[in-house]
Amino acid sequence: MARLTLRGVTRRFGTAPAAVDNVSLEVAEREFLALLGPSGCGKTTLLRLIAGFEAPDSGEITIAGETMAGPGFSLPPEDRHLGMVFQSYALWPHMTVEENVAFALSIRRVPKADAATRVAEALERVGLAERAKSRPAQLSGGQRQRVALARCLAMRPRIVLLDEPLANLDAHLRETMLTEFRRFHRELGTTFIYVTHDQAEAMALADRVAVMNAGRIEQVAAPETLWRESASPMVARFIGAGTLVPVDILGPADEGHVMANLWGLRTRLRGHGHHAEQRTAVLRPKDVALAATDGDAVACRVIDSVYQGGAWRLILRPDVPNAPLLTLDTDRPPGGDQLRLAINDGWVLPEAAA
Amino acid sequence: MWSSRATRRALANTLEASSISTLISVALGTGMALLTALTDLRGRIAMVFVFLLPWLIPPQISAMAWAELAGPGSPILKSIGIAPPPGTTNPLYSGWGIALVMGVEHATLAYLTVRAGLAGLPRDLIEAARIGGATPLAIVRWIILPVLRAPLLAGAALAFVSAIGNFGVPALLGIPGRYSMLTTLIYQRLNGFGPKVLGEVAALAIILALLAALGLAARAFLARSYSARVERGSAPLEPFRLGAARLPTEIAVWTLLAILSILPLCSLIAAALVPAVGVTLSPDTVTFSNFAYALFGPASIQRAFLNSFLLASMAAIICATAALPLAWLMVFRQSRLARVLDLLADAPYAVPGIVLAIGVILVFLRPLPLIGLSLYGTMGILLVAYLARVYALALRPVVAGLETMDRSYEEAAQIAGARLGTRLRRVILPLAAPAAAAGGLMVFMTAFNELTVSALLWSTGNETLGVIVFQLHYEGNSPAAAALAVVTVAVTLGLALVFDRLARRLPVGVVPWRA
Repeated sequence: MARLTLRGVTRRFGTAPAAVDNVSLEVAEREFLALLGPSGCGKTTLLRLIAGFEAPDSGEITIAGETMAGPGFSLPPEDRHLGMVFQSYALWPHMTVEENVAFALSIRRVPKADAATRVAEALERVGLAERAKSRPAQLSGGQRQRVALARCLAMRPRIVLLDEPLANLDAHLRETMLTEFRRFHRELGTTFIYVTHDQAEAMALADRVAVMNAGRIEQVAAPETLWRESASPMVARFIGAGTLVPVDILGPADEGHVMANLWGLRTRLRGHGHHAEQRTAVLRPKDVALAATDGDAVACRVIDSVYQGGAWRLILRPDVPNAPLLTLDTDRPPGGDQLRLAINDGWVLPEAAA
Repeated sequence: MWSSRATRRALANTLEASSISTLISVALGTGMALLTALTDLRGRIAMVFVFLLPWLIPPQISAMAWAELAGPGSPILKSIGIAPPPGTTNPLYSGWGIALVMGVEHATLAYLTVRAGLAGLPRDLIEAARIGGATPLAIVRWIILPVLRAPLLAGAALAFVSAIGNFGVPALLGIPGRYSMLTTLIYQRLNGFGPKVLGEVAALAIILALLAALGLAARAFLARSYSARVERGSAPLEPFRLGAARLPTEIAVWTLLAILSILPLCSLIAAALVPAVGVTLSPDTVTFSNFAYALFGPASIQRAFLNSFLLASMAAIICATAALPLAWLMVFRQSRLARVLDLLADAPYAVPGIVLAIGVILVFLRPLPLIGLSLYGTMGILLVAYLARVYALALRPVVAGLETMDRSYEEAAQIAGARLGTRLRRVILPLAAPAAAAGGLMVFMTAFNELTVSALLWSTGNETLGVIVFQLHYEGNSPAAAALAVVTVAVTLGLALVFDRLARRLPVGVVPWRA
């Protein structure tokens, strides 16, 4: 329940490019923030910097105005009053479920009766009250995950850090746990910071998502904004399988839209721009559709079609030199290997991004 | 000194016997590793355990057992009519005898390195060859052996270093056979002339240390070239089916194991059951008086039991206790301090025991500063030398345990607010305790029967079991020596069984026969 601020945080390992490169970020009280990015993008290092397992080479980290790390100084993790759920859960195998949850309370010298209530409460909340005396080895993956969460909740941390907590669960359990995480966050009103490489997880959970790439934050925004108004080509490609295409801006259209020349078609796209600018637009599967008329449409060849349960996903190659492949989701199976495609929507990437 | 004939002969003998013994170790160890890791022989854990028996038994006792087996009085050879005629010298009192016994003893070292190399061999590599149509023999020849070349040579280097530093075997077989080696030469000089020849024997020790350093450098170099390839967590190799050859192979392996591991021990027991040297064992002559003598006889023997027990217990407790923080520093912190500590802990173990003993004498002969007392001639100097000699035995399992431990166990405790001391005590210690116990047990097993450093550092009142067995043997009281040896071996094997029970809770590879 505290405001977290990162200012110009950098962490290098040896001579390699910085793992976390000049990152600034504000996380509001009670916010659920997801750190999303491909493997090796620095999201886990950033989480470990917040936790205190890593010290920044430069920059500053504060929680509720209190400095956690700054020039030549880093508060050790044990003094930061945070909670963390590890990817491997890290339940101590020599302690029972109850002892695992009670550990932090005994360290912090919470009175025995009080601690017992808090442990029972935390286990109750994750639905494992009857497994209190079990050992972690006797639990299923999903149950271990819940114990890890209960251990974290019983500490009443200022911020809950989660490091890819669902990576080791099967798809079905993952769905259930997503719902649970959302419920916990709603009920507890604690700040959650959640590292994941899975955009569906990030979108389903977070108030805001920070997309990371090569140690930098590319964009921090609400999931819908990330999707509709990607700030950079990396975000556009990473989120929702966007295809990048070059466009020539013809001029502004109505509020928030421009007219652009896309493969010779006059197309209305979201975004901003001036006449004669060469820009890049992102097209997502939902932005294109089978053309009703031959008018404003581009001819495509069907390269492949994949049935995806309820809908077909077609991979298309537009009959335009150097055009990238497009994807189209449609209810009907493809008839023939040629079709015409209308472009109904799209987003012109902002200026700075080439 | 350098040019003396005795020195040159001892050096030549050391190189000769150690080289032959290394060849024997590598042949036995590699064969056993390939058979147990790659085939579907039954009872492989029992096989490996019996194969490793000679390594669990201290070298001087192995040498005694082999001498009993091969000598003119051998009950086993007599029963099949191939014993050497009475009055002739024991055929093992020779370079070949020393090489054979050391070779069997150190075969374990070759076995363990080759076995570790096989564990790092990705299963896919073999399966890919099988899909490609290669026969098992072709796979061994073209895939397994080339991959194993580095571990094989590393194992050989280790066996060689152990052979040149071995004291128990040449002392029991070489001294009566007038086959002098560097370790026995140092012992005899120092024993005969006392500390005034320290300078001279120190020079001999340096030759020995240089030889060991060469071998260890070779091993370190080779270890680097294959350790990088080890893939943790890869699936175990699928054993080759031997089919119709399985039973004959099993019979052959057990026959060899019986000769190498079991028969010498039987001879030792037989030798302990006769009233005097040369008496044939029969229902009429069998006696337990030697055991009574060994257990309830002279005060010096009882003192030795107590001394060895105390020394071994203290060494085990100190090593196991100190191993945890040191291993934590090495594995989790990887600090420069830890690397230095690692070298310090490893060096005395790799250095031949006799060299270590001389080093300890040189350091502790003079009175200690501040308190003005000399440790020389006390139990203290024995304890110091034991600690230096066996420390690494306790450290290795704990390091292995921490290396395979999920790092986030400690991090989770840290996030929970636990400081270093609390984390070590409440999280790391309980998790690493089985490994530390295993290390302590190995220290105890080794220290309880220690001979090499004890032989140079003991004094009246501070006898150890190893020294007493050795002395009884030299005084010609072989039956009593054999009886005492049987008792100490029984203690060692009992501990080995305790160790075996611990296996389930230990990282893979700590209990060697369950590797």
